Amino acid sequence: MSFRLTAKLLLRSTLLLALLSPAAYAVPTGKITIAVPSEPGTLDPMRSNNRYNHTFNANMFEALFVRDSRAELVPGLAESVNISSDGLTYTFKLRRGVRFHDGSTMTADDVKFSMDRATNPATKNPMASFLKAIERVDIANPDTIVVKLKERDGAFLKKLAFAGWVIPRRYFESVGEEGFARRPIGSGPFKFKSRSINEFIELEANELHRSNVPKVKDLVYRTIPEDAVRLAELQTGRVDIATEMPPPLMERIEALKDVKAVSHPTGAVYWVVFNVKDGKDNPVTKLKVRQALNYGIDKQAIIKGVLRGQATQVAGALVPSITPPDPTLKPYPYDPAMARKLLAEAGYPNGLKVEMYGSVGRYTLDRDISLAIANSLKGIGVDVDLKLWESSKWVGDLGKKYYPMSYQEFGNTIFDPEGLMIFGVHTKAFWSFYTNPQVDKLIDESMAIIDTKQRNAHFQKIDRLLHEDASHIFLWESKIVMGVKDKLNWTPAPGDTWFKFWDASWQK
Amino acid sequence: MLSYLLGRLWHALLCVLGVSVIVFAITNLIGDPVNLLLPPEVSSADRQAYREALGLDRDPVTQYLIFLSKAVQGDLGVSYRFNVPVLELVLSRFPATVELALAAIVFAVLVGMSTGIVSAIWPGTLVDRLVQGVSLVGMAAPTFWVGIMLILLFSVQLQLLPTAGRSGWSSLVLPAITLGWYSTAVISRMTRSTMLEVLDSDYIRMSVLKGTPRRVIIFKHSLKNILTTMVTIVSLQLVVLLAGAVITETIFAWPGIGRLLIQSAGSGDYPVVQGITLLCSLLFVLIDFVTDLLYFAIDPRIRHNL
Repeated sequence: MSFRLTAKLLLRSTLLLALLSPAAYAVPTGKITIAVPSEPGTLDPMRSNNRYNHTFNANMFEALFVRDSRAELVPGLAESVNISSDGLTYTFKLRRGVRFHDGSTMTADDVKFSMDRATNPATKNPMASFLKAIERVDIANPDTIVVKLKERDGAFLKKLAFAGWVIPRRYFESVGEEGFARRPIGSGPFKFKSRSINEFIELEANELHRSNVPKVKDLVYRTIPEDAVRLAELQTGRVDIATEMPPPLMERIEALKDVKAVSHPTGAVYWVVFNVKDGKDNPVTKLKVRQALNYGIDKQAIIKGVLRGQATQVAGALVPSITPPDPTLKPYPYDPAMARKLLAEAGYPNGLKVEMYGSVGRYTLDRDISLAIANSLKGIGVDVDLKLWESSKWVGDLGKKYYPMSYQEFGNTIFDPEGLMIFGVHTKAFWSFYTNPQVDKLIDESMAIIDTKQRNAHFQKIDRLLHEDASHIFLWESKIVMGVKDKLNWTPAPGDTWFKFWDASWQK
Repeated sequence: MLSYLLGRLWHALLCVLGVSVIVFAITNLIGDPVNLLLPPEVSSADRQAYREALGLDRDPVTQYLIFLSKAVQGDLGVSYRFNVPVLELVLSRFPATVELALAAIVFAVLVGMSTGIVSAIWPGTLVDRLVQGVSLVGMAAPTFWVGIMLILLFSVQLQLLPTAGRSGWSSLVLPAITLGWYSTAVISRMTRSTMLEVLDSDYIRMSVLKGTPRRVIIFKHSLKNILTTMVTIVSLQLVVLLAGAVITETIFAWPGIGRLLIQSAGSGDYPVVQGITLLCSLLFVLIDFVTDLLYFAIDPRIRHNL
């Protein structure tokens, strides 16, 4: 008997077994087509940092720990984990019999290979910083992986679920990096079918998946950059979901037949970043000025008028869908009288002039919002000198140009405020223009806290300090608007924008 | 003739070289692509390491010379975003653009020349004024507006044609019309004025007096004589169409190089931006060259003068 025949027979018998086993699932049927404005870069999960890649990765690949369709952190390729009391050694017991999309069985060697590749500087992995704490990955025995950390990392498992994807070593080595990016193989609920750059990506249900066999067979992402055209495609029934629609189109989506408008919290915080780090004679280095600016913006009016209600006001840096903020911490109310009083106390009885930088085309309605903020501040005698830049120029200049104030977003990645605190608030961070030794110390301490409850309480404490120090003008958590076919059962978890589709199904 | 051709070739080479310098300078001016490529969760030290790994820490002149020496050997670098050779990426998206541009030029030539001829034969009539009016609107209307209007009418209201994407002939119709809209107007107006000029010339008057049938005068004598002008205009328009597809491709989600260009510029994928502009300038120079050759074929005066 030839080798090929044996392989075929083996595959058939395993498929048969899978069908006969008591845990057999309904055969996936139907197709979901999603219209997205942009798309992943390379499909190599260790070479790309693009939010469309994160969605692709979440459906295609698995890590030792993963986020399920409710965005809960659950064991994935590992069955369980044991964390040493010093928090430096993570011992993962691997799940047995996990198979990659090509039918090969996942081994400890694949896990070690993938994690080594993800952390190796030669890979040029833009996500490597999420795995920085790793010192060494060892195979203790065929069922056990031991990860040694250089320092405690309270969010380590969360980071694994975001950047610790495991790929089949043998396949990768046989096709090479380029070949792998062309035809990626993982172990996730969906497998790769085909791609045409700037056109579509087609995925297919992975019927070999142990527990999350998708309910639909085909998943197609179509890249359609124009908002109005995504809407037209939804209207004419050629796509089932149109994502990232601008809020002003909400009413038009609601008016469509057989389509519902879904408003989905993104886990991203929007704020005006003050530069208190550098710049002489900068008025925003004064606490009272920062507080006055917080009191002086009618945030509710901007949410209602510009964002059509598609945002939730926040009191600090924490957003409700990721980390519950302290309920006793209330947002700065809109109080122009108070703002003027504070400005006078700070030595600006006749108001002041300040530069604010904003991007155009980076965030939803960013230009309009920057204009609305400037307009609102006019009411308290603050003359905002607005500098609007095209998005890539704006980002390219970040860290090189001096921005006293700028309208920015900090997005959710790992469902933990750590990223935001270390990379958006801490003095050492590249994206931070704020400095406060007390806050820095608390952020450093947070690295060691593994327990969720303790962690949340700790971040709430930091959040209160930021609020009191008016470190930023705290605005809102944004929501994205989507048009979804009425008959499609699909509810993404709040704060999760790495949409998972294995639970999605069509109503009969 | 050979020296003439060699001269043209030398000019073409200089032109491409000039374009490469300008594009390289501009992409360097936009700023640091590293901030666009890395997530905020990366420290300054790691940013620097990444910059070095991409070779962006070297001075712009060295970077340009490396780029040029590789480009001459057919290596346009690797896309930061897609991690595949730029040449391969661009060539894979190129057929879509060519298909669209050719469809648009065919539309523009057919509609533009026929309306132009009709206008010229009956100048001052209602038909002429209608053609003139519509072509004026055609030249003034912005592409994105025309595109969205066509989608609303033919896809959403009448449900006759697909809205976006590239799936067979029916999906080519709306983007081709949108893209060819402006060129149609230009060709129509140019055909009209050139044709009027020819119809007013002595040899045509002579034929009329001789009693040559009108059909023969228009389609044989006049048409032949406006051809040189038309070849110039059509070749210029083809260049415009190949380069101007950025907006049309974006509206109709057409997977061509125009969209790849704008997307790459936005995501800091500068090797792709440089690659596309270089290849496009090569293409334009080529079209220009072919146009020159066509003059030889069409116009006996040029043939004999050289």
